Amino acid sequence: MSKYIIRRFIQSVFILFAISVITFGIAKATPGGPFGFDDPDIGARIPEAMRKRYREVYGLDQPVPVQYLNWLRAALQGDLGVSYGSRNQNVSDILGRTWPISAQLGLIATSLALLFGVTLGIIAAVNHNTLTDYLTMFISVVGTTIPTFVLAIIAIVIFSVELRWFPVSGWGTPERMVLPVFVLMLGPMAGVARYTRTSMLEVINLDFVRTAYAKGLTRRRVIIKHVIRNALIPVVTITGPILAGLLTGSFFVETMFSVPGMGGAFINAAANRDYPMIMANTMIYAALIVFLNLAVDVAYGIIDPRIRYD
Amino acid sequence: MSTNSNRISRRRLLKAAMFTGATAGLAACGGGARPAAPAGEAPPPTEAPPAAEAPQEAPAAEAPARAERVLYLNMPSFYGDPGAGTDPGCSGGANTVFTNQLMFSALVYLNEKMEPTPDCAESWTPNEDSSVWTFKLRKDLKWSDGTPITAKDFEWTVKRNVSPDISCGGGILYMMDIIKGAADYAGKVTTDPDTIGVKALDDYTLQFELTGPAGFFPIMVSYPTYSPLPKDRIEQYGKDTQWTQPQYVLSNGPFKMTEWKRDEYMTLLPNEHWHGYTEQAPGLDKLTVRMLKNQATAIAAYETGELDVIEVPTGDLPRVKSDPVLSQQLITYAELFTQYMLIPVSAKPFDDVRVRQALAIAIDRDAIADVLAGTVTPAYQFLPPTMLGYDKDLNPEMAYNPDKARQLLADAGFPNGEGFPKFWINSNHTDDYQTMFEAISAMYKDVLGIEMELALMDPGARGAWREQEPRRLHLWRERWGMDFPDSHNSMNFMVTGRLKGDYSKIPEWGGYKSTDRVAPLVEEAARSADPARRHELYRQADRILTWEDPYLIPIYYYVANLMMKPRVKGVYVTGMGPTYRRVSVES
Repeated sequence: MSKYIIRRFIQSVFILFAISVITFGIAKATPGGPFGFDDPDIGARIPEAMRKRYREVYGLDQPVPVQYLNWLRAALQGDLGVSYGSRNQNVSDILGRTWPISAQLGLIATSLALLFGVTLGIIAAVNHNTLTDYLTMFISVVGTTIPTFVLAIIAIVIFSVELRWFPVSGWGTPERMVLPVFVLMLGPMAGVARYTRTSMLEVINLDFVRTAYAKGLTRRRVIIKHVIRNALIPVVTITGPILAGLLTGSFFVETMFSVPGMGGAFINAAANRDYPMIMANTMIYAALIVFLNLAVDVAYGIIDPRIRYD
Repeated sequence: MSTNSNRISRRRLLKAAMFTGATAGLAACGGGARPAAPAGEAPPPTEAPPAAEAPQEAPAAEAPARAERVLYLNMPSFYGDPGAGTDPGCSGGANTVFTNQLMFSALVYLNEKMEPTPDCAESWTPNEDSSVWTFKLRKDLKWSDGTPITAKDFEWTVKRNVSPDISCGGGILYMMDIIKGAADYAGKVTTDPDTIGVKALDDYTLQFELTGPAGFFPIMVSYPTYSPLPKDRIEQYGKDTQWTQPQYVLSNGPFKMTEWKRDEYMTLLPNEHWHGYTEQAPGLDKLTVRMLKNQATAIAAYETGELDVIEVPTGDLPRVKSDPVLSQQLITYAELFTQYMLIPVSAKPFDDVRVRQALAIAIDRDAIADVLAGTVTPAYQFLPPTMLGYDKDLNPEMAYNPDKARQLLADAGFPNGEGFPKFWINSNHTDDYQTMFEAISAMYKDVLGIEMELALMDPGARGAWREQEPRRLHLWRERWGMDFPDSHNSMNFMVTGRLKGDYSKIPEWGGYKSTDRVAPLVEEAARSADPARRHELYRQADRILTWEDPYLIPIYYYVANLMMKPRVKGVYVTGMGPTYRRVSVES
């Protein structure tokens, strides 16, 4: 097991290296540059002498491979550079401020999504083809298909403007967290519910379940002891990506509710060709995906004795 | 860069929020538009104790029963503002200008008529050709900690703001390179700051030596880069504009900052050491600047009383206008901001004046204004209303005239558009631009029988598209938002930035035959101090550029829509936006 983990870890480092090269390459190959120089509406005011100086200061006048190596050298020493979009702030300062907020929001949302999703999925599977099943799956389809930005607006109009239960936006106090968490949670919850239901139905029809019934166990005991435990393995698989996605923030939820997290920064960085920010965001996201997947694989070995890593 | 880059980020966000804005409108209409609640009921944003050095006014003893009067403003986007922060030396983004104007007083401010009005300076006088300006300062200028400000602080600040070494460096250079030697110092041609044409003659006299005559200079020094900055604080905490943090910053304007949670809110208190404070103590206790990025969210926050002033999202305009209560709170004003298309004057068949005129009058501008409901007004010249050189009768020929347009094109050798080469319109890609150019393209097709294809793209890709071989015949969408309300700002850009600037080196755009007619007019207008004469000169220049020998086709001027709660008083709105220096709120 530890051998396996070490091997996977080394693989992960190579994967991350490859991702960094590809991301840097794509970012640089995209037409346009930072500071609005290439946007005619902004660039009209910027004299050539100043453009030149900026390119020198930020090393943009060097060949792309050199720029990459400069970035890599600094990044390995923990220096992620200065954000081109907000030049008085270091990328690490911005992330240090915004990421914990996104992570907090993401963790709460993921936990609730798992809790409610698994519960709904089990209820639906146990009551297969009944009204309860259809109702639960209806909720789940709604949760999956309505985009978060529509959901956010609906939530704001109903709960803030009409009912006045929660403030429209902001962060930091429990009542300000309710709506963003709710909106962010709904999609993943629906996904988890459907996975759980499908997987439960599959397991319910397997031979060992029939055996368990034949042994005379109660339905309740069979479901809890045998079905759920086996049915949750696929759910664990999707938990990794869900967690990685939610931990790095959601652009729409964060902009709609003015949550000062890193989700907004991601999109803006791409639009502004803020290379240091693009790299930092992508690498964090990639690292989370890679290591959470590793964690999920390790978790398999723990919850499913049939899976062994040798 | 002020209004311009705000526009960009706002539009950019708007694009993302477009759907949601529409949804918000629908949803809110469905729920029945409700009157706005009295803002006093609003839950205040997260409170944190004010910074230690912020002396809270303690009116408790005198006015025990009075509720705290708090004004909630919104600053829609902070990220991506070049040099974002509160450093006036890094001003450039509209949001930085917004906070600068709350916190700092410049040499002059612009009154309701956008005239330069004494602020830090009591009076000013030019030399005979307006190339040297002497400002007499007030003697009671103080920092927010009570220490005095002198002309030397202004001199130091100007030199610092054009220095190549400040971290946000030279973002506002185009607002200062009119000062003699400033461009050379910023471009490291010289390293001697004393070569810059600014000097404190004594503690209360400040003199600027300019690169040439400039009758409009007093208007220019209303810009926040002409505010004094606290030298000691900057020298001590200058790195990465750390000095702008609430625990270090000193300012000389109507408000002082005591708290700043990035991407969340700023807290500002009235500055009792502001020179205007003695004349009229501010009618509020606290000003909170929140940072709600999404316009649909902001209007919801306005309706629940969490914000007092907002920009109205386009999708919500019809609802606001038809609502008996909200429509009373709507403030609509013309921005000094022109949208236009540049014409490749040297490329066939656009080298023919008649072709360019045909393109200009085949556009039904009223129809476009209708489509972009409430956000624009038709433009028939480059300079916007209220500016010198604007004349609503400047180009009577430019009114929509399909018959005349067809005739002009036929005279140029393209009857019914036959034989006219296909061409493109190159622009940023937003929903509004798509709508507008689809409309113009259809008008060209219907009226003139010619094909204009849309090349809408990411702004960064436009330059590469233009250079791509084989070169494509195209119009180029561009816009100009004024940095300070004098026609020099627009016309000087057109001459030095376009006719004689980089664009003159692009094959299709170079060789504009009327450059030698336009440039002298604009140069004379810069020298002149006579408004009537300047008006006439700019008028002539504008007519050449837009009709006699069209270099650009004006399309529309932007219109801004604000909503302000009735409890907010003392704010006036000009083409440059709202001014809050005398704001008060009823509790």
